[in-house]
Amino acid sequence: MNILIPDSWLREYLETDATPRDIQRCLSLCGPSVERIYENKLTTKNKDWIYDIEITTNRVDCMSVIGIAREAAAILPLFGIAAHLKFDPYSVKSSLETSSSIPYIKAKVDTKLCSRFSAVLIRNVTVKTSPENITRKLESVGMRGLNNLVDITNLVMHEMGQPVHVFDYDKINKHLMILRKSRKGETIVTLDGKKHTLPGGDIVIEDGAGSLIDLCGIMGGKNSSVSESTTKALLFVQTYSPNYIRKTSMALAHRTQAATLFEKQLPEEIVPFAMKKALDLVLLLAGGQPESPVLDIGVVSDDPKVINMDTPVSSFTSNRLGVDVTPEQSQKILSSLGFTTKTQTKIEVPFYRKYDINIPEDLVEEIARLYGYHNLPSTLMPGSLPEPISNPVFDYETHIKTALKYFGFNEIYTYSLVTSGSGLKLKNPLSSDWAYLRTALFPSHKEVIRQNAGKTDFLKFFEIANVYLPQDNQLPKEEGRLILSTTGIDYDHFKGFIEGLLKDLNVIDFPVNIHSENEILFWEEPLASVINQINPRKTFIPISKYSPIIEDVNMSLTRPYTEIINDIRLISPLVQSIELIDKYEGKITLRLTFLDSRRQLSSSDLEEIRSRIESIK
Amino acid sequence: MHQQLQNLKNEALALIMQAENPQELEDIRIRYLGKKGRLNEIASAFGNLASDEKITIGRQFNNVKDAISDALNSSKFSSANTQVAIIVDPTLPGIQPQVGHLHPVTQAISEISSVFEKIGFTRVRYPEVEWDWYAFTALNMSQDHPARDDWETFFIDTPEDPKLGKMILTPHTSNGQVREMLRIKKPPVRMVNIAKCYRRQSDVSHVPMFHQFEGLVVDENITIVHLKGTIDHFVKNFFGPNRKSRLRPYHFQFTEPSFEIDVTCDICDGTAFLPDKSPCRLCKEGWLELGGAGMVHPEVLKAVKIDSQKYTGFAFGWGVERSYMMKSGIKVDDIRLLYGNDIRFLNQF
Repeated sequence: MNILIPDSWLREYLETDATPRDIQRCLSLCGPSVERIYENKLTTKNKDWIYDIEITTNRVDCMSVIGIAREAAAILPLFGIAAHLKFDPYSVKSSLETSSSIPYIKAKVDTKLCSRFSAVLIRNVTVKTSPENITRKLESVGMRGLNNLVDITNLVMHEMGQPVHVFDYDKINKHLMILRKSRKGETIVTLDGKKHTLPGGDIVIEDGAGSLIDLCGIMGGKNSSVSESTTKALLFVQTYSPNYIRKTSMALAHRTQAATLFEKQLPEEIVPFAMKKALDLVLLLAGGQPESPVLDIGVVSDDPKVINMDTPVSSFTSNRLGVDVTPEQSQKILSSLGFTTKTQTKIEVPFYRKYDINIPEDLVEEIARLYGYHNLPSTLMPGSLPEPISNPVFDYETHIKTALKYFGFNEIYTYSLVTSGSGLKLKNPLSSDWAYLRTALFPSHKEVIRQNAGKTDFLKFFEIANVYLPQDNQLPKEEGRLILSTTGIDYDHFKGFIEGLLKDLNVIDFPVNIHSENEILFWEEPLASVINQINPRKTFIPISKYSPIIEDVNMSLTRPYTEIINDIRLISPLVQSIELIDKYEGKITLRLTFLDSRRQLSSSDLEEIRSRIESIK
Repeated sequence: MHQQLQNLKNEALALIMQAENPQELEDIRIRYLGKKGRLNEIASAFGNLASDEKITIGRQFNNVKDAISDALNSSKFSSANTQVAIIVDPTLPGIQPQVGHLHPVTQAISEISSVFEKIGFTRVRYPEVEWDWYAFTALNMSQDHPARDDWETFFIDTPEDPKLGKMILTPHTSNGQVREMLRIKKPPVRMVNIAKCYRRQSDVSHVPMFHQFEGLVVDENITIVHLKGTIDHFVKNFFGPNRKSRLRPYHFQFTEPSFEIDVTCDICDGTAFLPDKSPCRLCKEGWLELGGAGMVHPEVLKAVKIDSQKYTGFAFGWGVERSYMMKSGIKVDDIRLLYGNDIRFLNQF
């Protein structure tokens, strides 16, 4: 997720000499990544810049102006640039009086869904347009100014990272709020006018008339929204169980800034601070009289979260980092980030990091990133190598691919997912084109050949890829296959390529079964069965010092070629090799090589053999 | 006659050297070697010679004749020479064997594996259709982690395994970490797993099927320094000696700390600006994101029963397609072209 932070807004909290470029460079190396800086076109007076910052899902505390100011104050001094927070907005406890039960609103809250629920009523507010500086601030971070009440909620959210909502108190029937899970099929129209039919299990608020007035954590209901005629505003600040928010927001495809924050889990401790800030702004910009006490449901422990270590934090960190970190260094870094080093084995976590820091390794990350990954040396690890399992399959694959490339074949990669077939079916396919796992490669090749038809005279493709053969109650068998496919090449040549490949691999006894469909010829085999037939050993036959006699013989192909060859071989051991050199309309020409390793053959030695070959023609 | 032949030879050779065009050369040939030429004139007088003279003069006669015809043939105006020059046009192309093409992904995979093999990584291959446990649970991803959502990962329509959960298409190669550690049982582990991955996405920069390579090292005393060393080795050997890398803090469930690795952009040479001072549009401020990495999370080691007190490790998992495009500087504006298998695309690699 990304957040836009204007430099001027940042400096409301951050005192520093750093230039925007400094801030970008230093933050990116040690904290959230500042992907881009650009000029804020909406400012009129001073030149202003906007940071576009990527925040990782674990650092929801940085999804705010204050969060970034806090990071910058900790990071910039490490680069020799003076920086500190002008004031810590969370150092003083909220002065608001609170109670879990108040007369102006009756709330029934399922605290499993909503861990903290707070609200306050302000009477006699005036709804109007916000002052220009407020609208401009919001517009520069991509939000729209609506009216002072709504603008305040957006402003507080951007500044503190805690969503705030405001209801028109008079539109809440019987001033009753029941926070519960939705039932499937219930509907709500949200502020933006969109009507949603709920999938069920969504967090909603029902009022006294049984209508839904809030799609919690995502967007308020239109029926309870503030308008120009609103005089009683109910400010509303909550924290929700994150998974519900994400599920609803994804299922409805309704992604709001509030949902993005809530689904990362916000700390309950921030609620009163956000409430105070919002209330102060309402009184300032819309006037009115707030009720007291503020409604506040949900129990929050005053004790900070503690990480207990088996080994001192500095030596533990040194071990993971590969460089020595002193106790003073680790304490200083942790303290700059709001952690308290009670002892070297007991570290207190600031509330705004309580859902993110859980184990000693998390502290290593905090110290390491501020120590600076760029300050670490770079060395390859020593130590012994694992048991060698050099897998020859990879070498054979490379061999096959290279050979086929030089035979003029083009390698293709086709999707493992296909439209139909006997393979495993996807539960949630992206499209009907990709609904099943394939059990053969040929259908994909057929499609590629069809798509390339007419672009060249002939096509020669190959691929090595897995097919996924279903097995009962088990993962499918992932079988590596080799396929060659072609159009425009005749059978003899196609078969020749395969035989040439097998010969090059020294594959023995492997019958080549070529299939055809329409104009396409293809050969598809499990890679393992080809590789299993590879004879890795070459045999050497001493070169004869006698000359062979070579004779060509014409024959009719009245029976299978292999039978003829076998018969000729059986006639005499002097037949050294038989080669097919020509083929024409059922006639073949064979080239026979005769050799005797013990003596020089003469033509007369072959007379008997010739007549016997004659007899099997 | 001996002297006569000698003079005739010298005279002829001199004329051949002075000849200025093929016609002159031909005239010389006729004058000396023709039917009624000078040599034959001399030969007709052989009958008058004594028999012993006949032998020596006959030998000399043949030598002279050979010398003249050799000189004629080797002259630059000889028809033998001029004709060859006309037939062979050296600018004409030869007849080439037909050579096919390896898919860019294959080219990338073979380079990647070779870079890691040099530092002792074993290449392995693990399932692309996998149980939830290997792809998520063992990697410290909670039951409600977004990666497990229907809109991120493909699920197979088949009954769940009571222990291992749902059957999925691997959304990353990280299941290879789990499988390799379970196979080896006792470190050292040093592997690179390269396989197909699947995610529910398809647009100009995403394909539902792609390739990742996953590295894992687990041993005693493995630190971030070694992760940096390994990444530098890869970056310099795969992308080139002038490319630099950096680690930025990031977040992944199965590593802690986690990093994002950036490599300097080759288009702007890491400066963020092109030679004409305009900003580079390919990178972010001179850096390109390569992918994620981190120190293996202790929960992952626990899941595969490796003592996380004794052993530490690091892991990384990056996209093959992305690395290839970052290396070659090839800008494929729609990554789906890689799997479109148009012959006009394939022929360019």
